Amino acid sequence: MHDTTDQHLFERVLQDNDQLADENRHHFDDMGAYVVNFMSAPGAGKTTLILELAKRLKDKLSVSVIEGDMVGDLDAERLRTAGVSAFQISTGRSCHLDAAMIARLLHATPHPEGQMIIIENVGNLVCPAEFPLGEHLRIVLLSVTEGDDKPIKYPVIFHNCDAVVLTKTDLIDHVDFNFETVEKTVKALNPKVELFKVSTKNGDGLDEFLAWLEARHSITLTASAV
Amino acid sequence: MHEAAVALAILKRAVAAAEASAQKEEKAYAETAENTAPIFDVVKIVVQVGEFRNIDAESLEFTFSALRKEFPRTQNTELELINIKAIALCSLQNHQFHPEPANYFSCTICGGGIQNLISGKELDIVNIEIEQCLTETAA
Repeated sequence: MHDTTDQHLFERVLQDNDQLADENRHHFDDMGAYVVNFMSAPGAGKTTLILELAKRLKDKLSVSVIEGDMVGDLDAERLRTAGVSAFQISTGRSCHLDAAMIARLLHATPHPEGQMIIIENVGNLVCPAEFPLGEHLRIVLLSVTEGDDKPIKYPVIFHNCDAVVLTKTDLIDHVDFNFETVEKTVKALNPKVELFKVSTKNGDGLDEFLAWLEARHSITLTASAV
Repeated sequence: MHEAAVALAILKRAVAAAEASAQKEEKAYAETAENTAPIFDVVKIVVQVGEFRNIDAESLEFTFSALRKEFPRTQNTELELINIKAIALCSLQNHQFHPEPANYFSCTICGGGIQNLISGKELDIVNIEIEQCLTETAA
């Protein structure tokens, strides 16, 4: 007997991840934690920026950091050495964090706590765009040393984010990087996106970025309290 | 390469569909004198992939054909990918346009950005073809 039947349906392939991300989001809301997902290519300066933010926020908010890397815990150790609460997720073969990895960490002992939880995704401009984690805010970093063509080459991640932070701006005189090209592309991909220029080396732009981050945190808290 | 995770998600859904079909038929077979259990294989699975998803078709097909061997009911399952072109509504005047690198993803008529995508974000299973291949004696 060889009966063939078609099952017509319309199901998201990654619906399991999306459902878990929704559950993580509820969990974060119940904890009173505002969660920010930082994504970029390797070497754009995520850890350095997060370290700087954690230092500046520590007198105002309790902060934990989740570090995603394929191998090792160098970044988490670097943050812990600076007095920041940090949790490492080693993804092994996987080139991105997914919602299940975050869920497992949230139900482990100890687990990240605080008014703000910062997630540093695995360095990659492709895969992290496909896997929401339950975060409130998605931020993409692009260093001026990577080149101004990255939003053209990797449009999806720049389309699916709330802010783009251009990093290492202190090096701008040494590289061919056109801010206007990046702004034009990013604003076309994502007209509502916020664009920041920062240097953790000389501190340029950090106050503006931090003020925006704190404002977004406050707005979300106010909204969830209503 | 997240295509492996995507291929695995597709295969798990295919296996679930085959098992559901088997369970549905099991009752009817139990009532027959032959006391046999139905077996269903997944012949084909059709997935829509939007242009604004980070999916490389070749990588997905490669990982799918390797991973399908991990499941008894998908040993020869064919994967058909349907590419969906991105169509955006522009942020300035609601024009419909195709966002592409040559125009920095902006509207070809007025230069506006992507207000939202009407299509291009799909990553959806739209059809699973299942074949009742044989029966085996129930344990």
